[in-house]
Amino acid sequence: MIPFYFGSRERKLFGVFEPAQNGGAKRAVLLCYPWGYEYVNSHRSMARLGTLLSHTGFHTLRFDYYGTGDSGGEDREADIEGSRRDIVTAIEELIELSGVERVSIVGLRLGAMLGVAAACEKPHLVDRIVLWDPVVEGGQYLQELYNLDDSISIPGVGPASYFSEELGGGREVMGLPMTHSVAAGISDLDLTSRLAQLPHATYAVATRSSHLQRQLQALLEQRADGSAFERLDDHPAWHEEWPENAGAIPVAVLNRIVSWLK
Amino acid sequence: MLGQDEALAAIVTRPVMEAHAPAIIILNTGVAHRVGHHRKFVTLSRRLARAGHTVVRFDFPGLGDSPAMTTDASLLEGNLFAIREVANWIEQAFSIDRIIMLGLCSGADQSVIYAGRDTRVKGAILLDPSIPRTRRYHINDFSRRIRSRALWTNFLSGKGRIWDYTRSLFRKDGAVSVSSRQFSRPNLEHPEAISFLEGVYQGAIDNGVNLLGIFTAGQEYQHNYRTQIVDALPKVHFADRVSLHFLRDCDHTFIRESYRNYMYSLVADWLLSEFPDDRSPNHGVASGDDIESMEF
Repeated sequence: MIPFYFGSRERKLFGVFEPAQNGGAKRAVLLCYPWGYEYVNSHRSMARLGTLLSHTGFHTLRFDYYGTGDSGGEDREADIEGSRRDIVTAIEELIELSGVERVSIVGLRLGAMLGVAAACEKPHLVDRIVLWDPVVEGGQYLQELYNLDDSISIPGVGPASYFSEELGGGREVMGLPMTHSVAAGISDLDLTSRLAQLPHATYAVATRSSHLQRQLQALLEQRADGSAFERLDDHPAWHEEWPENAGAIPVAVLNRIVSWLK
Repeated sequence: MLGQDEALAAIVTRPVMEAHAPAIIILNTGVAHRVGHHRKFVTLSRRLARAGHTVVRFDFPGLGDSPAMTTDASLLEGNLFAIREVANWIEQAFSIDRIIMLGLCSGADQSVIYAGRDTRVKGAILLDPSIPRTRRYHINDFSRRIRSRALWTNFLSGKGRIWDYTRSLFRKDGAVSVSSRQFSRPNLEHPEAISFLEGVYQGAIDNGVNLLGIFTAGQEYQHNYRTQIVDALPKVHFADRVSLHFLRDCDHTFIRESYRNYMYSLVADWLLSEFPDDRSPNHGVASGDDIESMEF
């Protein structure tokens, strides 16, 4: 496991590279985290997936978008278009580190959507895509986040603050600023239309069902390239119902992702 | 990666200019990795680095990006060993031999335990550490509940713990149903637990450690007033070695930015008062060019 910073001096990105073990080394996987509160909740599962893939013979890289996690930038400097570009930077970094010609992308929640958006820009650098509990429609996801924050019932927690334009506008959502820029960027995202442009074999795995995921399922099942949609009964890695599933890792999902990529 | 086996993932944030203020070690909260909920430990580290402190956030073995270690030691002893490795590394790399521990919840508990075991530790910043409930806690809690609209709504609609208990008396097996929201936690009011905690806190005080305790309303099932720790651990001679705050409008993870900013300011003010001669010439500068982050 090699933690390191990459990217430019102005846009330092923190990543963890795990070289392929057990005689592998011909394939590489980039893991794309979710956003906001889902990032912290899912870090444990994403780290475990990275290690599993590495032990299975894949080079893996996971990294924090600018303005998130250990990467440079403050919370308000994070933005959707910038995160998409960060994924492109990470794809190129992983290719350089591993020596492969193309990488697979595993994206969780908004990371799935951003991964697909990045693959649209560099389709020749991507071979397969895994969508893990993907956000399908940005506008609906945004509303779900607002509703979730508005329904917080925790001792000591008051209503969300709204920010001035100097601070980027918008409001707090689950502990982080949802600036006007980020909200607009999320609203513009639509997974199925982007995915229809991509020729890559795609596997989607969902731990919760929704009508939007059924649209995604229909899209993937039309394809004859090995694409698939699967519903698995497991924990949502990105959402913590404390204390019921605190720290729980969705082992069935991780194993299924690894076996599909193999 | 730090430590003798290079197995501890860590991020160091420090002033670009040489500084001699005490280094600060930030511990994991539960199973959350070193970034912390709402990225608060990243923001806090950068602010403290601008004030002249070298700050190390790292993951205990088996958490975040640190691999699990095979050892016969208990989880606690393994974690305390990891903290010592980080403290040793700070001393070797930066020639800083004064340490301040900082942690939330389990991180606070481990901070104060370690503070009594290493003479380099000069301070401990404890966010919602585990403390026993007291008689005054229960009076406050009863008073709060009796004024709660939810209690009376539940009572009148036949819901809640009182009704659950009443129904259980008429059930054949007498079993009380357990809410899915309940969870197990250690009985800190047991005499052995109190004795252990008194030993831990007195050990830190005897070691010359000054304490900043910040308690939030988010742990209302465990503490609900500012000086509870003093009442709960009567054999500890806190004297003037502890500074206490109770944040009535704040949750356990500091979810709102305003709560975090207030906590950051309490920490900064306390450091300034406890270590007044260690200020960096950069203190108060808000640009990003005066600090650097390094991964290990």
